[in-house]
Amino acid sequence: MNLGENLKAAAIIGTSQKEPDISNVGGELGGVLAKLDRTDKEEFLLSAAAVFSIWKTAGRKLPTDPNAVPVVSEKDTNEILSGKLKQVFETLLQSVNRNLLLPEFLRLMAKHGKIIPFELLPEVLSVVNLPMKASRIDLRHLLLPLIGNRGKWLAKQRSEWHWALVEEEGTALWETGKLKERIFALEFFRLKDPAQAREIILKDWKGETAKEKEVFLEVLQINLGKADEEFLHEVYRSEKNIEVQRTAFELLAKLRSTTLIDEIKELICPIFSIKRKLLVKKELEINFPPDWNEKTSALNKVARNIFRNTTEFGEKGMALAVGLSLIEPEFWEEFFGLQADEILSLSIKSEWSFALLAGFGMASLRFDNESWFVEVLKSDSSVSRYSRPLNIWGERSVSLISENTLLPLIIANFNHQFCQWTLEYIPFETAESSEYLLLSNISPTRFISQGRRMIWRNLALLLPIQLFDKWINQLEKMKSQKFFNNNQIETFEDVIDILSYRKEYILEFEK
Amino acid sequence: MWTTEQIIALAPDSSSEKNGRNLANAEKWKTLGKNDISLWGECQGSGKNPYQTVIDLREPAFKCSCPSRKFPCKHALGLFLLFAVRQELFKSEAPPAFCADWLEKRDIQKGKKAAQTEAELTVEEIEKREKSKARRSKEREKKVEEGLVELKLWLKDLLRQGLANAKNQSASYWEKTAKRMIDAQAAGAARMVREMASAITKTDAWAEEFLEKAGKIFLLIEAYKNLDHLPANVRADVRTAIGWNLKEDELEKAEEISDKWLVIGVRNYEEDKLRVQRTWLIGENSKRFAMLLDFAFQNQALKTNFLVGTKFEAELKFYPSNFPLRATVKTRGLGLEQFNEVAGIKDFDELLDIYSGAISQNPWLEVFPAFLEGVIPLIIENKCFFRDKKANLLLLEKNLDRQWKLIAFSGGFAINIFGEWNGKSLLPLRAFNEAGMIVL
Repeated sequence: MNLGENLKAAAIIGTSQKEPDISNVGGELGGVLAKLDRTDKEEFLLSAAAVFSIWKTAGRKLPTDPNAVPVVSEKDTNEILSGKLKQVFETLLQSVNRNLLLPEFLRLMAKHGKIIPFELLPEVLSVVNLPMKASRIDLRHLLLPLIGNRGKWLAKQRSEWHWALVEEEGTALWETGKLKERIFALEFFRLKDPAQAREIILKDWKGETAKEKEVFLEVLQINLGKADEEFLHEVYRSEKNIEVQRTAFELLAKLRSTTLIDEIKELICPIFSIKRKLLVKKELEINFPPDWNEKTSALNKVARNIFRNTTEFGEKGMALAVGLSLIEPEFWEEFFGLQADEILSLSIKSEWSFALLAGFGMASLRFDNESWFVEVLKSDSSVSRYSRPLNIWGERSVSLISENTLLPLIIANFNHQFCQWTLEYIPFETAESSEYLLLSNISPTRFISQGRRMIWRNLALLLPIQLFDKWINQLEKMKSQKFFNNNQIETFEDVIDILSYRKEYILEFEK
Repeated sequence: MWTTEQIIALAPDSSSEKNGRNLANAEKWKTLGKNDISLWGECQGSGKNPYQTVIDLREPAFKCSCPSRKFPCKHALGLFLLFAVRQELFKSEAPPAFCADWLEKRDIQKGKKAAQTEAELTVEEIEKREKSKARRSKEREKKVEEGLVELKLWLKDLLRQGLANAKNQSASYWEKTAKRMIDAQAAGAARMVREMASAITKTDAWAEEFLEKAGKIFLLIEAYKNLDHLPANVRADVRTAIGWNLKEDELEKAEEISDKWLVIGVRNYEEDKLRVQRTWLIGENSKRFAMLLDFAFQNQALKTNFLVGTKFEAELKFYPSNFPLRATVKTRGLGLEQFNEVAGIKDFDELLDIYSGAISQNPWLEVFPAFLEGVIPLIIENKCFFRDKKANLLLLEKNLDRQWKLIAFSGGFAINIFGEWNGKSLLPLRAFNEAGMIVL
């Protein structure tokens, strides 16, 4: 045993049972130890420990690296984000609005050919481990082109960052990664080569769980095209799990001129007829054939999933609404030889008015048809206040309305009349958003009942820069109004923050 | 001239940093202005009137009308951060009253302070002061002596029964002795007891570490017993290790050095609800290291703010020590400049040689300034090291954020580092290369 071990043994057992042994210590250290007073065992142990510790520290030898000099990162030629933009980027990484604002910031970085400062790479590469739901986008795809050679070099050194090597090691990530990593790899393939990604899904399709099937199908939204139709149609027809089936249906619904749409037109068109009564009165008649339920079994299943907990629709009505939602609204103008307003005024008189309005409403949103949408809203108001079809399907479609379709449409047009319609007729969150949009034109008291911060934040994100100052000024004024509660004022502040950030970095990138 | 990294290093905590960053946005400021020595701005907060914020760029020093107890507050940080990257937003003009008044007050106070130190006391006043000091000192010495006698008995008892027994003791067992040392006005000894307690809870090499620390305390106890026979500088080191804190006005015979001092690193940490700031300086001509130590309770303001990467002209007074590092600013010139980097030590053997020399002078030395040139950070078996040209490896203190930030900054290339070496591992505080600097 060496001196250290001897001292340690005596200390652990206790000097009452074992005396420290220094007999084998020679050299200068031994000389010093020999001079220590040994009368008191504990004091001797403590003195020897002090001497040994200083001797060890003073003569410390460092280990050497047996390996060759580590591989260095390849040089980056792109400009590194610096100055104000670097400061804003660092702030965004820590901000509560990070998920909301980073996508736009990263896109601007890519557009201006800038890359992430090296020292921020660890934080950025770890950013994906945090919840990203709000952004509805996997930030990693936006980050990949911005991490440069330094980022890839760094990612190789830590398994949590291997996603950044997807370009080189995507297949391994898909085959052996966890679900989150597999989705990311699949998204990457899909962005690069949509057909290859579809083939990859198909290869192991039968062995995947229902949850995996659902999320992999969702990836097909990226670069969705006609070539995906056959696979999606097959899944829609034959898949047993309803969530998977519905996902396939939703994707098919995004395609134009599909076999599914032809089949549905073939099913639906024969059930409609317009009867003339007296001289000018017309009536829309709907006659379901006896084998309707049988022919629409797959559609029915999806419809039940969409309209679950809805009592106003029968099975036939649900299938009709969902079927209608797949057909572009203009088709009916040609089919009936009537204008949108005429078709809708006939629809509301029909005993199937709920299904018709819901179907036409969804179709007008799906096909971004503003004139049909406004007509649907007008017609919907004629129905009883408490049982409007739009109310019924609105809740299910709210994300579609508020985030994907309606808001960009409103903001792009900034059409006051259209906003008024929306404000008056659209239920739930969308009304709040529209109301917010109209803040300069309507009484602020209308805001008191509103408080959905997420919608306001999304609106702030979609707003074009020309309107920033107007909004900021208005919100500043509203902040000082007494009738808003703290929660609402916080929302205003939050929106001001988002707009201030956006203004700052958009202008800075443009410099 | 100012960089975001430098300014962020002044933030008292992470929430101040975050909030300060949020306020580094032109939209948040109603007015922004500057002149040669100061910046000012008005920021609309939740109150009716905007907060008025001023920064004296000569030190820097901060003033804000907000009620925050943090220092610098988020407004001061935000204003400074904004200035670092958007100087064009600040109009050059005569300062408004709220700024001019504060600057004037500061200058008057400085003048008064200088006059006070220069004022000569009467013989009676000096005698009275000295008598009272001597009495207080004697009382404390007695308390410390009694405390250390108890500590020695406690230590001996611990070793008689064995560490296997001590390892099973609860936290209160150790804390009771640490508190006794606080009562005995031996805060340094209390800290060492707490370090022993933390060593014994470790799973790896706990006994070695414990013995090391116990040996160090014992050496201190014995040194204190023989205090009167020790040379003056060693005496000062023993007293410092025990927890004696010399006041600045007690440094009458201290060594004084005038130089341009480069701020090469700042470390902020908390100890017993106390914010501690260690600012490391190196003299441009003297090449002497100096460490300025500043304390503040929780969110109270630290006395000084130094921006890493800047230099200032000053006369420093060094606290007496066999290996003097700690200093205080006696007089300081106005104005700050960015400095050009200076050369550091090129291999670790040299660092360890110098360090050996230092601990032979003062075995209780806690941290040692390490200024290293051309080192590569790398990970080997989950531990982070610096590698020098001879392939020697120097262990870094475990801190994942710092490690990966360093590795990313280096890209596998050699970088220069300033940090604190404690004899076993290095805590990096600043890294730089030809492309720039990062504060860690």
